[in-house]
Amino acid sequence: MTGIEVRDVSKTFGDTKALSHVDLHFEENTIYGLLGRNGAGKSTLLNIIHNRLFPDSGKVLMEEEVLAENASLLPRCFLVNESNLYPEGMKVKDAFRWSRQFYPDFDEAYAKELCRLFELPVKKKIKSLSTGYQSIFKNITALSVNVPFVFLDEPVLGLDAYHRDLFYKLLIEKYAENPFTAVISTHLIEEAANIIEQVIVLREGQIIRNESMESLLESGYCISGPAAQVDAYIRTREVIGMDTLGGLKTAYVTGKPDQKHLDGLEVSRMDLQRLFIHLTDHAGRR
Amino acid sequence: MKKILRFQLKDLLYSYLVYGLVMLLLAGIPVLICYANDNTDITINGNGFSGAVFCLVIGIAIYKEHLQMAVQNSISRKCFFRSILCVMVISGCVCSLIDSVSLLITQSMGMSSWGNSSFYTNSIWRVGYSEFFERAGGIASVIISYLLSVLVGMVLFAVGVLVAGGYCRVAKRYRTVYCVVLPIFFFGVLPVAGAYFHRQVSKAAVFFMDIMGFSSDNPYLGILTLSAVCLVLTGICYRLLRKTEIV
Repeated sequence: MTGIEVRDVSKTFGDTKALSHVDLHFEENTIYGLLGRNGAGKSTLLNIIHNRLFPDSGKVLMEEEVLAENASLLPRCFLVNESNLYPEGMKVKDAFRWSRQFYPDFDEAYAKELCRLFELPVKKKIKSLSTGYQSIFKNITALSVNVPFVFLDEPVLGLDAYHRDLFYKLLIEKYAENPFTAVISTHLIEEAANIIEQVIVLREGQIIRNESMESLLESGYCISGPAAQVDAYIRTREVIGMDTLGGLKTAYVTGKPDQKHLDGLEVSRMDLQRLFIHLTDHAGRR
Repeated sequence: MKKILRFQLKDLLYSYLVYGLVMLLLAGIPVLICYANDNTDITINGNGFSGAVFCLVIGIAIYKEHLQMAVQNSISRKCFFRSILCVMVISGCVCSLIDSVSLLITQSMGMSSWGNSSFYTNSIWRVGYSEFFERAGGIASVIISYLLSVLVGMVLFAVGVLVAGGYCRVAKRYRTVYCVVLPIFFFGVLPVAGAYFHRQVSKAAVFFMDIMGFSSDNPYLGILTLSAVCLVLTGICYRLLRKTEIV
């Protein structure tokens, strides 16, 4: 089996259950969105996959071999998260130089080109960079490392709108040019929604959804129009959110649209963020 | 393993150079004293331990940072441990070499005439195994001294890794306590307890002299003991490292 398989993984910190019997499969050459509220277990899951944390039970497999402590398989993965594990005094250019040593396919020229695009000073020490530029440095490394599995835990943390947009553009470009598996864990769902192919939603350490973006968004729809008409339409339906602007209303409804009662109403695609809020809060507490 | 080893050695290169430079400068101090003062006789015994202390410092200082770098770059803990073992041996060898060279320089300068002044330096091993070294030839003495210094350096490096490894394994909220309690225990509680339980301490000292071969004037016993201690310590280090989580 290709890809990475997470098999029955559980992890507890003190009396907090971070992950509970998680089963997952990451296919090759797919962009995953790992979504969940704070403390849902996203970072723990990524840290376990990348051999930084050890699960209490279960295992992570790649090509039917356990990934943890596997010297030949681990270099096929790369994880960036908010913690900076590079040495205190290391400069950006030195980090790139060493990345080339550790990852033979690391494209140093491309990394330098990205530094120019993001205006990242390569002669500066990594620890002296601002939070945003530290994220940029890690993202540049992740984009240049050229390994089959890249895990990005909060990649746009501290980035301004321009840099966030640039990062997603470059990620897509890179993916189109040389496909790889990217697992993006983020709270800025709307921005990542356009590039995610497969959505994994975690809630309280458990997978509650693992399906393609398409099928997830088909589980509901948006209906908008004059407030009175929308209210009449949604009376007998499950609504997961609503926006009102003057006399106009938009309702986020689960299920399929009822064509018979749509007079004067506009149907559009479900909003991922609304659905996420619904899945991780409302639905979860029912 | 080669990649992380290369990184570690490159990172330590400056430290070795600085240490070597300092030791060479220190080697000239007795000359300066004799040159400046008339009728001065200096005897320095027990040289050759600074390299071991330096190894201890290296062990403590590099462990966490290098482990983090290894984990960030998808190096398994097993590979990192193998690399640490190599660094341990290399550090022991390099520091002992620097110590030996600096001692040789001091000794050869001590043989020269300095007016009415003189100085004489001796390694810790020549003091501990005096009769053996008197019997043994020059080259054999140098080799045995060097081997003993390397092993002590390795043992202290492993102690350093053990201290740093323990720190990494301790839960974050107990790390300050760990940093405070450890030196207080070793440099406060233990000496006081030693004074109180002096009989037990002298028994332990006799035992130490025996297993190190000081009592029997047998450095080979010392080599064997240090090797065994080094093996045990590195085994404990691996057990600590094996389950160290890096976040």
